[in-house]
Amino acid sequence: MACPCLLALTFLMLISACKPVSPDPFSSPIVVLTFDDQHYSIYDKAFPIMQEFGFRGTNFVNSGAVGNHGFMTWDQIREMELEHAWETGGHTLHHEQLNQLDLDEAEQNLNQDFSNLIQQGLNPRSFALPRGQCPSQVYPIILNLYQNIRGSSDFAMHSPIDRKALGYLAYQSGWSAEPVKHRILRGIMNNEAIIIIGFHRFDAENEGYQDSCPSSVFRQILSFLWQYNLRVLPLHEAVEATMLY
Amino acid sequence: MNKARFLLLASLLVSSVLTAGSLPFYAEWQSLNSMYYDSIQSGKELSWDELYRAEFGFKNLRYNRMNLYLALATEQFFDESHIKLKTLILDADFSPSWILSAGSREHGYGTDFAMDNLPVLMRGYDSYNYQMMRLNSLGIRYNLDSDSHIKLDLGGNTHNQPCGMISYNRQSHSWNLALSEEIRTMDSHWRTPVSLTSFSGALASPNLAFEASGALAILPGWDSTKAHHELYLQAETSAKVAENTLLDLGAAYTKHEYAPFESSRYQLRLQRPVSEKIELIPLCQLSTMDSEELWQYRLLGTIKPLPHSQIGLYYDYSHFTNSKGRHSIGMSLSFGLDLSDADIGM
Repeated sequence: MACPCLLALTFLMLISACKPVSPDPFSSPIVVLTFDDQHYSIYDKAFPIMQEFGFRGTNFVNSGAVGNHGFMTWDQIREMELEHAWETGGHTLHHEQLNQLDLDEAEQNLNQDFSNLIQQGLNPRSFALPRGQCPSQVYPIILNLYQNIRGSSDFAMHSPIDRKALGYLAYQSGWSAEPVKHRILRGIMNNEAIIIIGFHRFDAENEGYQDSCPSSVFRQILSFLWQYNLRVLPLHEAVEATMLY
Repeated sequence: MNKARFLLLASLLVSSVLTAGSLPFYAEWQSLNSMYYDSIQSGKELSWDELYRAEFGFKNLRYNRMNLYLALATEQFFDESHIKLKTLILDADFSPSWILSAGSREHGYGTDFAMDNLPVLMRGYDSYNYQMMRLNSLGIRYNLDSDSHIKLDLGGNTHNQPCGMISYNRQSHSWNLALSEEIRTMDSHWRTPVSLTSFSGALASPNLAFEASGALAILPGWDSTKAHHELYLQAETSAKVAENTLLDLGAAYTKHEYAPFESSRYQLRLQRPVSEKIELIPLCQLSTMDSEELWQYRLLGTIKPLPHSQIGLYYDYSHFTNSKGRHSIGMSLSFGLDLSDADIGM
């Protein structure tokens, strides 16, 4: 008699520990377009093209550099989030690499960066690690402020998503639209849940930057997403959509 | 899940398994670790891709007239409370002919090729290729004879997808056949009602195995959605072409009214042991999506040190038509313990 009772107790404990995860009914992956470092060209070049296609993205902002020459202003960042439902996420004050700061410096930096975003009336829920670097002891500090953490390497993400270790493919200067298209096609064929494509600045490849995307290529990428009827969502919404319980 | 709760749970599980001795308990661990270099992604750092999956449960645990099938899984990360209730089915025999069942399970059409043993993880993450949903249902089954039955399932899920399904199954020692008709109030893509008619069958002989399945979805006109139909078809065969050598062929086809409108996958592979426990498996696969074609060539070597366990190492080269390729290397592991062969009564 002890055996069935023990088993029944085990089942009850197991079932109570479960989250009955249902897959998102949509089969195609959700595509997330992220824009790092608040370059003015994001607002000037990419934002209007995103608007044309009805897509929304995620800005990862270094709050200490907002308003500097060549960068977006708080008004522009607020406009994108508050009027057009983009997401604004944290990215440290001045793009500091977290592995080069001591723990106190990192905590101060992250808290100040988050506070700056909050003071602007924004709702930051995602954080992008500058250069993907983060010592393990800093993760709890970030997770105390944000729900999603994007790293720097690209890998297949299946549901359920590990929201504190998200990968992404960063667009590099000199690429056509093909590497991005192929990445997304592989993701569809591979039944991935989320594909994150990252951009930095636009139409600045002639100035020697390694992370600039021509507007024409960006438009081709968005046309491809539209043609394939893929959902394009800000990062937080995309992660939430894959975690429907 | 906090540590105390996890330890209590683990100790209860282990102690109940040990106490029960020969219960039909099973546990599986699967992982796929890989790295790729893609020549069109110039300037990008190499990335290390990791997928993990663990599943455990009980198969056909019988108590009086009740029968339990329970499968729990956790995927990708093990440091958070993400145990997934994969399958829970309780059957109650009311008579030799009538069985009432209730439970929760994944439901859909078409699985990855059963004879392809590398993407064990993919099969765990996405059990079905077409119209996959969670089905929480109440079912009643009537055994027509010892080899065949009909079953009615009524249920749905939290995504507002109620459905009703009637199915017929017949099986013998060398073949089986299943037919079903399902009505869902909401298609997974179109969010409109859908009728799904499906079949699946398998045939096995000493030198040949064959499996086929298909589903036809009929969507009536609804709001802005035009009346149309969609199709999913899949077939695979495994033939013994020489002593200890199997040739496997697989094909799957999906037709949607949304992009990708047509997608397909064709697979050809050879399985040949080089020793008692080591096998070499070359594979060629073509995946198509509308006008895009992805060619894939893979050489997989597997070692099977124990029953239900496999260590695999592979090299994979893949490319889209007229494009530079991607080189991948990886290691896949599948370890399992299965005590379910014996049907234990309590």
